[in-house]
Amino acid sequence: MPAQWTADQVLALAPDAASAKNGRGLATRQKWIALGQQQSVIWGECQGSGKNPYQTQIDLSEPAFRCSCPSRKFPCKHGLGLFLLLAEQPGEMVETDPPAWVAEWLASRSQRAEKQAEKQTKRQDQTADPIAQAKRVAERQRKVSAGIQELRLWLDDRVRQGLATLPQESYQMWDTIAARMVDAQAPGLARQLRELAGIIHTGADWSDRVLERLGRLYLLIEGFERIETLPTAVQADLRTQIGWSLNQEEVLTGQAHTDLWLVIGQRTQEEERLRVRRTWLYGIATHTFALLLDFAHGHQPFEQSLLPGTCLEAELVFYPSAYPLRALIKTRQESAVLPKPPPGIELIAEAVCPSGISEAIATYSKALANCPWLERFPLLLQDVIPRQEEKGWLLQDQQGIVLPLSRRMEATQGWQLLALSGGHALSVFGEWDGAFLTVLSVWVEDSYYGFGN
Amino acid sequence: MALATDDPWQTIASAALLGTERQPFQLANISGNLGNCLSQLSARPKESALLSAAGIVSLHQRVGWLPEVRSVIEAEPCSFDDLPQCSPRAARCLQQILEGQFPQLLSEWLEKAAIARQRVPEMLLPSLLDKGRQQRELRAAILPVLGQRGRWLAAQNPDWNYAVALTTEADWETGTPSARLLYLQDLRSHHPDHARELLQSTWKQETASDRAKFLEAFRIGLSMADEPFLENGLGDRSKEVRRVAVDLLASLPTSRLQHVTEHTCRYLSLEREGPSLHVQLPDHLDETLIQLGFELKPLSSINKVGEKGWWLLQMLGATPLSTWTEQWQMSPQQIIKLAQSHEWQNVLLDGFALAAKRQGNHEWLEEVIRVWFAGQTSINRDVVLVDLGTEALVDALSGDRRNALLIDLFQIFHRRINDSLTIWLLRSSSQLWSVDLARLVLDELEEHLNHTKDFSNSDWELRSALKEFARFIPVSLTSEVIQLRERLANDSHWINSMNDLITLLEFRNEMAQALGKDGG
Repeated sequence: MPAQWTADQVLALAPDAASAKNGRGLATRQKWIALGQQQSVIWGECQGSGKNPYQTQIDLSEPAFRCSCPSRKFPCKHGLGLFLLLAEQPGEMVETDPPAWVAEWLASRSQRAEKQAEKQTKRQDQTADPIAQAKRVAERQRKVSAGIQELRLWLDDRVRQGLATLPQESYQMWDTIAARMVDAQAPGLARQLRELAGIIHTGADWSDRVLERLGRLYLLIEGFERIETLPTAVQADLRTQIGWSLNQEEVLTGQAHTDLWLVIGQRTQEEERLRVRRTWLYGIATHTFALLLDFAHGHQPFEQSLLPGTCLEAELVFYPSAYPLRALIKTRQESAVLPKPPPGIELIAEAVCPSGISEAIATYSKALANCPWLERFPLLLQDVIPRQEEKGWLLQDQQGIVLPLSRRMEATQGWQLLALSGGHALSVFGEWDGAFLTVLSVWVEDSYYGFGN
Repeated sequence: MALATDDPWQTIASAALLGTERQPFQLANISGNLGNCLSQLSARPKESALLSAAGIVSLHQRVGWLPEVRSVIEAEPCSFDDLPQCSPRAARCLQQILEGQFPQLLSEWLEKAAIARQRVPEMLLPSLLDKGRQQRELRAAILPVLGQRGRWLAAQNPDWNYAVALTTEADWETGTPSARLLYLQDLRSHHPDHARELLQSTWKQETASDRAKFLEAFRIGLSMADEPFLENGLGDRSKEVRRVAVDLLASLPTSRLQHVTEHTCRYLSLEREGPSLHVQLPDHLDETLIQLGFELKPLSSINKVGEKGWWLLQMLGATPLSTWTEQWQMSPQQIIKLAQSHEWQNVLLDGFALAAKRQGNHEWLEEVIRVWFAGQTSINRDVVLVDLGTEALVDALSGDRRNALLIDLFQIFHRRINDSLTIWLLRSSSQLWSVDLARLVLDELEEHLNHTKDFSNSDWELRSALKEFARFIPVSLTSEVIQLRERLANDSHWINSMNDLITLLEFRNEMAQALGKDGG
């Protein structure tokens, strides 16, 4: 079987650092009593503190995990340990018939998949009452418009009084207007206002950055006020910014794009108790980037398992936008294939940006001209060398052009990047925010290294 | 207004800071598309015009932003010709250690990787180099597993310059103290004479602490050729340098320091009747001895032997031990026995111990330690020199003797496993126990664990030491230890500590396999 799983990929699945640590501790042969494999399913029994060993199983095609331990984390340390063992010592898995407890799970899984498919078709068949829906839309339009009117007056007040006094204002001022936007069903505006409040105490050029964001908010308002006159894709972008997002069923009715998608980078961030995972895909035949957003509470698992550096065959539907990036998986080939080795990153980089940084930035500029609201843009850079300067880390291409790396990057990561390069060129994928690049993935020859977590 | 400039953003930004109620906003005329776009705002209320202009101009700037061009620095990239990387399994072990799971096993990992001639994977280099920066004692073990890549990386970060290989002598004067020390140590093991000449060339400009450290490196490859240089060190301004120099000279079998013998014989003799040792304390310290680096005042504040005792102790320490065995026709064992019951036993035993350690005489060393096994119960032995601490003495023994001595500790001296001395000696090992010793310890342990109902103070000590024992048990005995645990009663107080011991032992086993020949 192909065994390109690497420990990095497996650990990317860990719900938190403690799980990764404990999983590593279980990735030794001695911890496991029985280990077995049949095609894309592996299983093992791990002696824990209890009387009976825990029964752990993984369906590698997704991958999906199950374990008899009481842990509420997912995947649990046993699942991670078993997976790591496969990545590091694949020879230890004996090809054999699954025991009853594994077979049972497999049967229940295929049943569940069928049920879900049924449910989905049902859901799509249910056509909502068009009159009631139009009414709901009109009601929301009214609320949002009123909120936007209020925000416009509030913004006018800010520049009438001058931004110089903003640092003396309490957070209450921002919070009040943000709360008003939530009431007006415009949570996207509320989020932007709260972010704005955070900028004020960050460095000397705060006023420029605040004004920039205020200006952007204003353009958003202006656009929304004449939204009917704009193309549908632009309308969709404006609604997204306001926080008036389509529900997934609506999105899924859009055109589907079938491709072999490479999971090119991933980053999980915690926002309060919510974990947000951003997974970037790259379609190998269609040469398009796609962004999947997943949310999970606490230690709950993410719905989809997406391992950086692997490929999946799937149908994707993009959210409507003047520059579509965010997408949903409509269908995914579950059991058909084990992860295929991705084509050489050089080939992909070739297709995305024929040469260095300036072409990549030109692509970004074009995208921005189409959709001015882009916050993070996927950049794949080939043949760049990391460099350290007084202010932080940079990537430099063969022409000498540089891009600064995120200042929030941990110092160790900069040095890891330099260690991987050894002064030679490497390939990097990351998110560009217009000023800094956040590195998510690095390739050295054919080896993949995840930097996102 | 002075604030108005050609840059439209500047105009907008200063107006926004000030506020439109203080200063009406007026955009300067700009040509081109941007200007056309902005000119459409002129009819609007000033706040609206300002905010829209801010939005338009900043977007215009973002879209038109071009990355900077810098000159390409022609830095020497790292050579690809490198040691093979350790296996992913071994890398995972190292990562666990670096993340703090089994920090005490770092040196074992490094040692095993060095033997396997493998290097640390790139992603772990920064953390490992950082560890070496914090813990000096690890540095020598880190260097061999860095590979070309690690040394190349270290050269890019001043914090890691200890790991930058001094490849040529040209760097000798400019290197950092720690890098220079490592270079000197390396040179001593291959070309000791050359190393000495190199140090001599810069000796006068070195600081006192560097002089002492560099001189210590002479233990590697020490020979009579070093004598003149070491004697020169006897006159050094620094006490520490003098101490190292005396110690090294006394370790040379035929150094001039050995002339001390004639002095020593004046103060120590054998009375055949009894027999007994006759000690006469010196009433002064001879000028020639002072020139040889003898100290008038005891170096330690614990002056339990007195000034005169201290003088004799130094003389004994510099006198070849064969002097006594040959002159008196007695075995070390017999002589030590006489010293033991003597009123000046501290002076005599410490003096003999110092000589034994310097001369690398394991027979004498073992005898001194045995005396102390038989008598002392306290492990806080007062010593006049740090070098004579019990740990230092036991460590100076060869591995075989050390193992044999510890076996005797149980079998001849009938020390129990929960005895402070036993625990202390077992846990302060610097190397693996032999299989025989480990089996004996396990037997003693099982015997003890099965017979303790209540915990005594020493049992607490033993319990906390169990985890450390795991570092010294050969991994080949892992299954025997697991069997021992299984034989323990389920409600034993010891189960958790035994589990901890086994966890660590299993990790070491995993490490040994991952770094072994078929580490995967």
